[in-house]
Amino acid sequence: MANIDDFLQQMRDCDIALADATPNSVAMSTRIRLARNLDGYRFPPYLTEGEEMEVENAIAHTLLDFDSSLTYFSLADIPLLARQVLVEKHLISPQFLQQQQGALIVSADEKTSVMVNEEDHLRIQCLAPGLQLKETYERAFALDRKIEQEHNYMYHQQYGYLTSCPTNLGTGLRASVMLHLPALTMTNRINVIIQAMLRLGMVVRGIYGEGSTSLGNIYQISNQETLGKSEQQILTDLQQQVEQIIEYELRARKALMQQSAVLLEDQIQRALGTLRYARVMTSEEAAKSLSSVRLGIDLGIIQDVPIKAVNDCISCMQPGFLQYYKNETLQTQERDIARAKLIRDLLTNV
Amino acid sequence: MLCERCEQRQAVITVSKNTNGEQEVHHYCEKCAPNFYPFTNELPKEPISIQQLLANWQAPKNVRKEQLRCTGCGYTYAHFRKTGRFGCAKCYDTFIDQMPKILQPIQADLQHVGAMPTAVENKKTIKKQITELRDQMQLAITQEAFEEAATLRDNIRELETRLKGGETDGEY
Ligand SMILES: [Zn+2]
Ligand SMILES: [Zn+2]
Repeated sequence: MANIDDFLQQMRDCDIALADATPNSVAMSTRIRLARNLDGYRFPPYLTEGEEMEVENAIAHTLLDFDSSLTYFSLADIPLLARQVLVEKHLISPQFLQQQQGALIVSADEKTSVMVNEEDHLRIQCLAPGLQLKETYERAFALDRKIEQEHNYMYHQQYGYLTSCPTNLGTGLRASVMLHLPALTMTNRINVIIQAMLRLGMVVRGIYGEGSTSLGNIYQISNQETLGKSEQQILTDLQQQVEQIIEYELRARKALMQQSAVLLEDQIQRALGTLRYARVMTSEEAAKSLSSVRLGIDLGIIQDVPIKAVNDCISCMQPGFLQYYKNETLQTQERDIARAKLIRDLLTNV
Repeated sequence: MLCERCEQRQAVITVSKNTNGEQEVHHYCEKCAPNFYPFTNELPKEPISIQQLLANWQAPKNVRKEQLRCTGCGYTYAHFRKTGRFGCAKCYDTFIDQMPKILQPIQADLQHVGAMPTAVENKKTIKKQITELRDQMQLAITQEAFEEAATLRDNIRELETRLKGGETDGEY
């Protein structure tokens, strides 16, 4: 039986979610999720304990045989703090965190993770740095086909793959791209873009904040519709919208540089100063400053900080992460102190 | 105007009824109307009792819908409305009348396109092959190429057996 603590340590060593700089630094990562259910069982919340185990065992058996990089964890064996880290890494959902039953099958590089018995029997998730919708989908699809060789899925002539909630029906595909959009946010253009995306059947969410307000100017854009469009169509549409937004962001950056280079540079260098020297830092301030520094690196204003260090900070500054690696529950101010120290260390030992 | 019962199809039938001198008017679609009055000859021969008719009149339309119960999991439509989740695969057929209303605001279309399980895909391919072979067989017969027609017929039978086999024992 694998130990979740060892595993999270291992994960920390090969954190790819927000890994090395990609050619396009606006698109931070790509995520593909497929929702599937096994025929002959009710949806997860309505399974008996025995049925839950049957489903878990069946899926674990198939997946572990197929891919030796995967490790199986029963949710019951994952302590709350570790679960919170997994939520912050987007490997499990906040809803899954609260469940008694279920399992997580995951690779240490975080590229593949499968939630078993969350809202659906299977939530297959593949992750990649940068913008790689097609490639990432192919990986998820390969896993899907492997499971399908050994188990019958719920499938309906009209509605396609059946899911517990009708918002996931049909393809069961949710494709998302995480975008860093500081210039669009600074110039107040982001709200117009979010509205336009909604009309095009896309969903835009801030990553750390609630709703559309985003800490750290990081947004996730994903498809809303899963039924009535083929996988290829869903991916192509999303790709197009994402490319468009990236284009807008790059143009906004150029305009900012032309109109107010000194002000922009001032803001960026101050942010770096704050991160390097502050002793107490809220997650809000950290997210904001890290976003500025990231932008500074992209624009060539900051040259002595590798983007990897910034990305590490982004994934380590969240409350679950901080407490997990300090191995204790921290009060808000203690967390702010620990956060400041961690970021200081990450940005000075580079 | 939409049908009062299902609230989905166009109302094409107007039913009026006199109760204590007051005129009640209702509008139903073709599908729902027979539940209220013997309009079509699809209905059972024995006359609907007045009690039954009254029961139908009085049942508020929503209660009927909410009380629809899935035989697969035992959950009602009211349960779905409360949780936003279905209980099992059969729910999608049980509540099929409600599906357009649920799906239209959130989905691109009501018909799935895209990937399907290999088994379903294979079946589709076999069905298509059978149709093609039947056409070829017809052609062979009109051209009096009976030996060829016989071979084609054997091929069709073989494909049909494969199709049936898949349905009965789950092996494809
Ligand atoms: Zn009707
Ligand atoms: Zn059901």
